Amino acid sequence: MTDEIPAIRTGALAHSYQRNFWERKRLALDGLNLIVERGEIYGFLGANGAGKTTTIKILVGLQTQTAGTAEIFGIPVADGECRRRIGFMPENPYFYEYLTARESLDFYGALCDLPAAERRRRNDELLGFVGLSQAADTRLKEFSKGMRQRLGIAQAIVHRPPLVILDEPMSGLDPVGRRQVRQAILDLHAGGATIFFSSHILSDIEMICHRAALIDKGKLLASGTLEELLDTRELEIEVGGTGLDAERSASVAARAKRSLRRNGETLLSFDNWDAAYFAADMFREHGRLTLLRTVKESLEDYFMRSTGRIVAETRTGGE
Amino acid sequence: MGKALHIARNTFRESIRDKILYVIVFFAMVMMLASLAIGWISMGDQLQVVQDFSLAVLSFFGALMAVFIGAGLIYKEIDKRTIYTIISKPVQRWQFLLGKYLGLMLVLGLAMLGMLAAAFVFVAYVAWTAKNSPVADWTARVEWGWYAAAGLLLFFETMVVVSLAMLFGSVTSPILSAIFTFTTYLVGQVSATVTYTFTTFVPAKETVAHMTGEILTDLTSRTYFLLKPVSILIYYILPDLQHFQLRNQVVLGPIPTLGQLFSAMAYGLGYSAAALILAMLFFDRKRF
Repeated sequence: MTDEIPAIRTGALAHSYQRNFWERKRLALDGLNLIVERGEIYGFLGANGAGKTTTIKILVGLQTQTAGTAEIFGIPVADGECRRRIGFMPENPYFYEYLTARESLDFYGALCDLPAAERRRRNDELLGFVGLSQAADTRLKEFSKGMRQRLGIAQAIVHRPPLVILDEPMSGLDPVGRRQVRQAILDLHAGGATIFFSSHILSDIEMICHRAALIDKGKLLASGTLEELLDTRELEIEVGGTGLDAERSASVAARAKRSLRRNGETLLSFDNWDAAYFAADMFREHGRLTLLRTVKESLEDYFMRSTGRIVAETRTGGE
Repeated sequence: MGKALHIARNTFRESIRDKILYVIVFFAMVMMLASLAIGWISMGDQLQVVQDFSLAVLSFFGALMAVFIGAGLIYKEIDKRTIYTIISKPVQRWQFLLGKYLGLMLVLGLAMLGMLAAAFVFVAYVAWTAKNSPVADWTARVEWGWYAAAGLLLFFETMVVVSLAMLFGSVTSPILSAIFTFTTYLVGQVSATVTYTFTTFVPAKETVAHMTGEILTDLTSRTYFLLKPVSILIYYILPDLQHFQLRNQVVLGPIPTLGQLFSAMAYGLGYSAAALILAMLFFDRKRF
């Protein structure tokens, strides 16, 4: 796979901009080196304003880099030809409200040089793929956000591009909508497409990506498989149970890093196995053991660690 | 070109829903009706007044539509981000701009055709009443063919105004674009007359000095003679929209020639093409 020309390659990609004539230039991207291999689902991770959308806009021809290179399947992005190979869905895609879903797809198909007969077939196929067959002849002004998002995916792949770039595809969706979009991404990948999508919703990337890159303040902090990025060591052991008397509860809590009582259940976090086993035995013998598991670094922990942001101690309860 | 036509069709669907279009057409109709009233108080020249006024209304309201819809046409695509899904497709930016232009011209063409049809009805009514009144005016006649040709030329004038609106719209905000376009329209109506005055009637500096007995101060004379090259420069940069005004000739004579008609059309096409090419060059450098 690696000896092939990658789907996306950027070299020292930089972009700066000025809000006003008298203002100093701001650096949105700072020497970004990125390689997305063919056939991957690649997550582009970063906080708001990290430079994700700028990178994507350069890749799809909406912006021009101020320095560096960007190629799609070996073709420089300045060459309009590479847009035949890209399907792009912007963040919160906007459409012509007066068109129906079918008319809208027909319009985009025509822009991609699809003949009328093929467009008709493709429109039905795509509306079915994104689950909008029932709403095919509904005007887009009546569409919900989730429906727009799914139509956004449909218009992106109308010309069967080998690379699909999605900017925050799950942004603002409810759990049902997110699941539908996730499934659409997996289906597209199963159909042979390379998927590159940006998100700040870490669980989405964790769930479906083969590899991911983390960007912050325009700089690439890290890239690789999730196994490569995350610390695979066990960070802590969680033990949970019920039924201990006050003295035994105090005894196990004294050995724990954190403890939390929730709905009559005690949840304890330990940083060594001896203490965890001690607590587990206590619950087994004098109460009921409900939980015993190890906790590894999550993408969220990794994100906070890498970007130097302070982790909110959400797990800490009353001790 | 095929993609530009698809974008044009879409722009047509979009612009035909623009309420401002109907507001402007409504006011144009009201103004044409008002021309009947003006005609009644014009001491026997009612038919001439109605013809002249209806063509002036067509020109002015055609320009208003071009300014109000054309100036924001590109900005709206950027502001609403609908442009993102189009420019990221295998579409050249010039195709996008040309499509927007053609789509809007189709809408304005239909609107102007409607206004011209209404003007025909008004003029025909006034011509009929002139011949059928107790004091029948048998000289009252309308050069219908040339009246229609004058209306057609105003469509070419609107083509020029829309191309300017798109040129300004590709570099500035909709408000500035509207101001620049409308100002250019107004200057374009008089630039030929102003330049003609300066180049034909302004005599040499020495002659003026001689005629006035050296009364002109140095400052006044310098200002006076500076205006001549400035007016010539403006004339060649801004469109000469008087090319498209046949109404005086159609109403009062002498009847224009076909050569005059075709050269005005060619000028309109040439100027619009030049303005659009310039707009495309600016738009090609635009970042979203």
